[in-house]
Amino acid sequence: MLHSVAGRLLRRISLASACALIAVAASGCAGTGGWGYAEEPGVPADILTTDGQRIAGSLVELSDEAVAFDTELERGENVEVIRRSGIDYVYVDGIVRGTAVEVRDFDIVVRSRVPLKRIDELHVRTRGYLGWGTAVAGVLAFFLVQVLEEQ
Amino acid sequence: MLHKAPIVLLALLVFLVFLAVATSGCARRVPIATLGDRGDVGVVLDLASGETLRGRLLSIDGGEMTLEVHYAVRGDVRLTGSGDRRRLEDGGAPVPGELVSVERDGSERIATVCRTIDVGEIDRATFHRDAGEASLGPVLSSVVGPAVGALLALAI
Repeated sequence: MLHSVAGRLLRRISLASACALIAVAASGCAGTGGWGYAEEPGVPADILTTDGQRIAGSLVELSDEAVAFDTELERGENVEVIRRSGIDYVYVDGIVRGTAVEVRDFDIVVRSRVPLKRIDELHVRTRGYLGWGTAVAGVLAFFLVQVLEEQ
Repeated sequence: MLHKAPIVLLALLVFLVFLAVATSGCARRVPIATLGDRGDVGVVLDLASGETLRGRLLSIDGGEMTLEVHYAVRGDVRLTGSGDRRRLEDGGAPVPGELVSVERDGSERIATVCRTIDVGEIDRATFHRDAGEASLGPVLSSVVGPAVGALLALAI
């Protein structure tokens, strides 16, 4: 009994390892060659400003001694997008927050500029292949399959 | 039931290891002032002088950006001197910065120069993720998590 259960477990772990290996190998091929960096700018990062505000988003560029930072802002009644001179400005409670990069169904990608002098700390997040999303998806799949098996 | 207990414990252990690995992806927060080899961020610089540089960001600190730039040693780009006096020249003029290493890549020699640039001299700099990381992250998140979770559930 123990041998058959252990054998079944071993086979399934082997299958899981093979699936993971195939996924890693296939996606690794897509990222090789050329300069070695993505063509589209944007690095996950977070900023702590001198006035204590923490902003998490994507570090895009630096110009005029200020960094351009993309953040996702949930749409709501207090959020407005107003076009002026061909540029979409995003207002929150009547105060301009930045320019709209992409207006989506549920949120808006807002680009704001933060002068280097106003930045207290700037951290980048790199080599983060997996995240909480992977773990949550794994836990959900685990319970979903268990429920389906019981049925 | 008694026989199944060690297997359940083993599966739980594997699951916890998986959770630890998965969540460690969130832990790689590196201050940009001391990035160095702890992170891989590409940078494309357009300088006020008209020069364009592509390299790996090492730090942004105190109004200065430090990056590692690779030059293929061919044509106008050549190495002069030897030992401590070895330096890289482009069109007869020395390339600013510190020559860190010269490595052979196939038939070419690649010189790595560490350059520090005043932020005021930068017209525009864009920051780029490692290409492998950018393509691998979403695939791993969407495939590996559910696959491992589902297979563990089947195994128990």
